[in-house]
Amino acid sequence: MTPRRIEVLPDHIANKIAAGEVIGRPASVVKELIENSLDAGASNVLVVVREGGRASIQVTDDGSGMEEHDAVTSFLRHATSKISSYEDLESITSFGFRGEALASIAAVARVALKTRRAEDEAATVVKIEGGDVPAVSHEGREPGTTLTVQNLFYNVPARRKFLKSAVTEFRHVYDEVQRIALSKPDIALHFISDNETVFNLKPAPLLQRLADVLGERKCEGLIPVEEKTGAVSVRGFIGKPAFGMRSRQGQYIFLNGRFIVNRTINHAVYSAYEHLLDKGTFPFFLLFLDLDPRAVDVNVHPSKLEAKFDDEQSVYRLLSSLTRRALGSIDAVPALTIQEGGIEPGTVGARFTTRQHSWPAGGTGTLWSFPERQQIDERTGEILPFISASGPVSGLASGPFPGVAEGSPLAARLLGTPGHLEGVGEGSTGVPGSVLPHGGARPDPGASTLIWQLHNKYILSQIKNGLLIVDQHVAHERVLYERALARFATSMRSTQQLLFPYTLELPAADFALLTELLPDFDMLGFDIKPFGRHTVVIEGVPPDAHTGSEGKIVEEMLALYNEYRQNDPTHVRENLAKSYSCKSAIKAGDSLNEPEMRSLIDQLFATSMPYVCPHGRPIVLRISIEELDRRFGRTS
Amino acid sequence: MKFTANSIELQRTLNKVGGVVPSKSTMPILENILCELSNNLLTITATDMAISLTVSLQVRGTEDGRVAIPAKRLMDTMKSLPDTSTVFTIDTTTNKIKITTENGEYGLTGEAAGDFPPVPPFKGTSELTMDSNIFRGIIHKTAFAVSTDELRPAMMGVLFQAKDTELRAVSTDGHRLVKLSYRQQKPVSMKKDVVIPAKALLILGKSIDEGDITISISETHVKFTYGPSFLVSRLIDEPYPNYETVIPAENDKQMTVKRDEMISSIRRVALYASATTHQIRFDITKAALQITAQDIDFGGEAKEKIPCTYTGDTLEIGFNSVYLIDILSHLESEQVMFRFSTPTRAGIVSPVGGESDSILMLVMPVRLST
Repeated sequence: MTPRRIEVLPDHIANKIAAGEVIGRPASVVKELIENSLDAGASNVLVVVREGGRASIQVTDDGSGMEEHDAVTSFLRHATSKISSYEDLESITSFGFRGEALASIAAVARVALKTRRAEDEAATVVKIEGGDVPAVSHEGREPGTTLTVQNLFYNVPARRKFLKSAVTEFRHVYDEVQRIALSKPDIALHFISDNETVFNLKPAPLLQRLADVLGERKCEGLIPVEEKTGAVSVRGFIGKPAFGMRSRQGQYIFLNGRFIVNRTINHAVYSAYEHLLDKGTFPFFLLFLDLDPRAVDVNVHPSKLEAKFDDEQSVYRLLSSLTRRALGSIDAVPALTIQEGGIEPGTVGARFTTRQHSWPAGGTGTLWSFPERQQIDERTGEILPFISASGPVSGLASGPFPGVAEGSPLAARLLGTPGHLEGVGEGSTGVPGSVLPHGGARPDPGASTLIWQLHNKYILSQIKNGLLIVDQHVAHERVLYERALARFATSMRSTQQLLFPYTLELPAADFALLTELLPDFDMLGFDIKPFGRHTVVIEGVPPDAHTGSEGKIVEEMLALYNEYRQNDPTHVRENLAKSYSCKSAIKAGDSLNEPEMRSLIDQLFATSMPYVCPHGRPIVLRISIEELDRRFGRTS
Repeated sequence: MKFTANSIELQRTLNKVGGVVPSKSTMPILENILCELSNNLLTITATDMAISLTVSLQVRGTEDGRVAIPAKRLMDTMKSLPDTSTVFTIDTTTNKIKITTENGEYGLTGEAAGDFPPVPPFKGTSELTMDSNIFRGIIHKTAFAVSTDELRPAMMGVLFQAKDTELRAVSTDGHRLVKLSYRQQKPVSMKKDVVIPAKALLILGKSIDEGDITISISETHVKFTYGPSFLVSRLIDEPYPNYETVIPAENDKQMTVKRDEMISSIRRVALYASATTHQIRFDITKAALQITAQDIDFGGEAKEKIPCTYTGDTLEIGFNSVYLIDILSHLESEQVMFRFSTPTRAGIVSPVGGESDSILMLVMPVRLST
């Protein structure tokens, strides 16, 4: 067999091949046509499809229309009015620009174009079948353009075979029309499928349009966001965590009005939710990103679904912080609902379980158990009020001099104050919490202040409509985490220099890791100097680090950092901040006094996300007064 | 057991031991105080197992005996009584205590005296006697600077060292340090260095009266005897950090300021510092010290200038204002001298005039970001 010679393909074949890139299915035709209408300045668009676009697609608009020459030329490949020079390509503001859509569609379907400019007498009608020579005639119509596409892929059997059922194709078309409806609330959009109106949208403000398209209920769960920085402006809505979706369907990003799919942005938003969302659910968001067209390249793929940002990092940061702030502004405290009939027969302690699906607005969620048994006065069977003292916990075992260190080292860490011993006389004379040996539950002297510590682990506080429970360790962790991130973000940091530098000898691997991370440790506020083989000297620590355990903190941070790095190797500083905050935070079992607890709560709620710790554990839990009422049989 | 005592006198005595009573303990008996009557002398003991304090009071005794009385309720009762005489009648078999005053009658239940842990037997070796007021001064000037961190037990106490005729007391929490030297005529008779828990010293500081105080040391304990009272405390059995090596010798940038003026200035400026770091900043020039603070988190800044005399190049250095106020308010002189070297090295603070070499304080700076 003689080898075939290489030859340039004839136009009609080349066009059919190229069409495959732009036109994948009826939905892409719909998208291209509506975008053309919008580029033509239309304010009313009518979309009519039959059999999900397999049979026919018709888009009618009241846009500028075309005169005869343009109408014919528009079907040629790379014919466009939208750009004329390479410079224009650098700053694209229209939807289309490649000049491929009509040519591609015409190559694979029967197409009829009927268009009239306001100033022309009659409309031009251009009919093309499968890329053949256009037939031109004239007719009357209102100014604007109608494009009818029939029998898509009639001449490309391979393609036609791959078209799905009418229902499936309709869903794709619907998605495209919906995206455009969401992105252009100022356009009247009428969508008819098989003689039935799917929607008929009047121009409306964005939120109204969202309600029209997505339903009123969805809109209740939206938080408006808006932010402008020098180069980028963002506005739109993000969904409350309770409205998490089972798929990524509800994620709309419009870049300069164009729907795009961008993993960076998705990730920025998604990760800002941290663990507010249950596993397997995705946030809803709809964001309009506007930035200088020159700072972004949408000409990545013919479908224009992708975009490349010149400065992806800053877009990421902007969206991440925007989302975080928006989420922080809403009440995302999981409310605790007590299971009905929660008292197990045979046990004295009532067991609390969250029956409900955690997030306040309902929705789905994990089940959190509340394993702490309440303290029961053995004699009376009463459930004791929140006992601030842990009774038989501290004492001799903890150190040579109990009383003396009560809370003070924590004060130093929470309040930044060096511990004071002056108060020792007054402080320890009281015997709070000693109710058990004496019988009868005495009210805690601190009760009037409405903040208590439970088992040196949880902080309880009265809030307007119930009880708030805070896990002290993760709360402090969140505070330190954000402080650490802030130090990375700004150069504002400080280092408490140590009087007695701490020499730390490390295993070779850890030493290498630390050497690599030294600049980051430095930014956190550590002052660490290499000191010979596998040894470093810690000369200073961040002011909120636990004094006395400087060496331990560094060692443990390295270990934890190693662990985090395995899961997420990219976020060096987040990992470091996480391990720092975990190791420096107060622990469960540390007793706190009232000012310390108050300070912690204040600092916690000054953070951007006071509800979830950097590792995803909940920080705050709420039991509403109604729940307690019901529990005590107060509700009728 | 029966005796009559004045409510105010009894309250004053109870206050001395109150600081020893632990607020929560695995041993409920420790929440009591042991009262022992022998003729007209009422002896009261409190302990938390690490520190025991025994004080005494002259009362009108009728019948000797011993009993442990709940400390808090007794103290609260005495506190709320007017200046009056109180009659204690105690049934030492049931441990029922009846207090009778002109206002009425109060009954409470105590514990058997035998259940109260005895004061550990003490075999003192070396002894040192000095004036109570001087010793109280030593406590005041050192105990504030100890660490409250149980991870470094040694720093939770004050180091006492004998150097010929000099008694040296040192305290530090790793960020600041106080070295106080007290010189006496004859050599200090203390055979080893001891670290005394700050808690014991602070309790002591509240309860010592006029007169002399005698310090005896055993292998594991220290005993302070003053008048009829005595306090026994466990020693901290941990090596004290080598403090001498961290006292810099080359600090040649000297700044002299008025102490009061500086304290008030720092107090005002620090109101505007970050509530978590308390960080303030000194900009020192020849004739003026500028103190500034800035709260990044919540906004706010403050700036003050006070006169100083300064030898050295212009210096910027940051401090935790709490440490500075602590240090300055535990000095007494009208003027203080700071000696600096670099913004990351310890600053030395000492009083100007008087025995300037007898007290020296160190404070570690906070390195400022640039």
